[in-house]
Amino acid sequence: MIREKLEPIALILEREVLAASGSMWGWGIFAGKLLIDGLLFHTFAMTDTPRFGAEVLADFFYILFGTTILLGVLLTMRLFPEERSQKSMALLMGAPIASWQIILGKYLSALTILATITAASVYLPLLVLLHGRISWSQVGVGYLGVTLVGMATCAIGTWMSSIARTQLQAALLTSGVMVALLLGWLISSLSAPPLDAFFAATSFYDAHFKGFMYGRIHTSAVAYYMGLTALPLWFASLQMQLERRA
Amino acid sequence: MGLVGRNGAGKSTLLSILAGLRTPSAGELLLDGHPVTHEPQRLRARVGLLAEPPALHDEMPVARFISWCAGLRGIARSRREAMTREAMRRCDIEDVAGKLVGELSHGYRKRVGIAQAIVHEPDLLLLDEPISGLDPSQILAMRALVRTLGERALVIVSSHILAEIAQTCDHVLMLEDGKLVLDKPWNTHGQELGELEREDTVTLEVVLETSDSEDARGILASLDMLMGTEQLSQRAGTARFITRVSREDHHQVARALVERGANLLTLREVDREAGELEELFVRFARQSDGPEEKGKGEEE
Repeated sequence: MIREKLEPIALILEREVLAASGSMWGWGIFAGKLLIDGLLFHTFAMTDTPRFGAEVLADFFYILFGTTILLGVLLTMRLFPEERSQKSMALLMGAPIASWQIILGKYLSALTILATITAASVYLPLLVLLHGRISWSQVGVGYLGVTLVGMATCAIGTWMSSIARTQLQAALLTSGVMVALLLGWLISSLSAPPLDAFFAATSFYDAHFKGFMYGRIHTSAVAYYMGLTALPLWFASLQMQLERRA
Repeated sequence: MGLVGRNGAGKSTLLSILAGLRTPSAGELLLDGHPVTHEPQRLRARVGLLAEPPALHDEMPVARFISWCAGLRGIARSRREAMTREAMRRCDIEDVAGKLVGELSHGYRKRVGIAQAIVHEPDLLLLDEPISGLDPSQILAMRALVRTLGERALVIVSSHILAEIAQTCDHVLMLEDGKLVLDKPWNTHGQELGELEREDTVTLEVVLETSDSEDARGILASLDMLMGTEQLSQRAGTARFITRVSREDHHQVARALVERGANLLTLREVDREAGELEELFVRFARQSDGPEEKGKGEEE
């Protein structure tokens, strides 16, 4: 029974990953992300002044935080608008599968590609080993944080992609939501109580990611990112359901 | 089953509803007598759709794409390969099994579109404009394929090419403004137009130059050899008719018309079934336009 439910999700995931790995676009994104990560790491994290390995790693995960969000936006903007422009959406919409299976298949495909590209950046913290020591738990926790950020970004991107008619629209919508979440701290500082506490708590970076950079796991932060993953996916499923039953 | 109607009549909407892609705003959708309006999954599992343009994934090899579609429609992995092979055999695309879908010609793309629609052996197959964009040899092959598909499933062909419907369907549905205005078996339809043995008659299209359609109708009515004459249009100083004549008399029609003073512009034998369907189509379209619209058309 469970296998039957998972099979269409796996099929959608498989097709998306194969399509990306067989395209110039997919490899371009892959190479571009590694290049930007490398350049930023060497410019901002690997400075000439002596520093603790933990500080360098914190800077590395700060860079990875930003590039992961950007990658999430780029990977998810194609999910549905591309199908619509190629008129292949009927294959999914007309299949005897639930809307959540379509959404989950698409979402997991973006997340798989994002995780693969992110994992390829692991050579950068290893470079720190050439000059000093690193804490493996900090590396592990940092990557956990980046994965959670990727999960939430891809979920928001999947939702926006299910709404948008074009890839540009999807990218702009996802970017808009991400900027709003990132600016939570700024809005918080401009707001009066009790709204300031609310906006501070929704802040995508300040309130939740900083701990991961230094190897600290806060369950509230994990719950925040998980919530920010589940909620948009649920909205996306509802959106898909509405579209299929319009 | 042929589905015809003017642009905007509701053909595509009906196909979307039948394919489980939309919900009817009113009414009930029945499948084998059971309501499925609110059970779209049941409906989708038993329907195959060839959309226009066909929904395909260009980056996938043909066999893999069809197998992927089978998987999406719930076909178990163990049966998928055999069913994919069978669908490709029926659509005669085995020779391109390893090619990328994006590399195929238009005709092959249509066939791949049909193969994905039948791979799960649906009870209802919906074909939207199956011959659009095909060359004459591909059209013949597609007609043969559609007839073959009709042996195993109910096939609904939506097309604005009436000759296509006439040649591949044995039942016609005509939509006008979202309403069904004609629903009848095609092989009995000829009885409406004349009580003739169809094998012995020829259908003719007659176009006369005249500003007075009454006058033109009078000339045609005076020819005893013509049977079941219907006027199709009157515009820009010409009147267009469709009529029947016995096969042995049809060479006399031109001379008889000229002798009665008609300015004959066109006289041609038309595909009988397509001509009848076209005539019906025009008649229903004219009725639904109403007298105001009709008047406007005549002025034009």
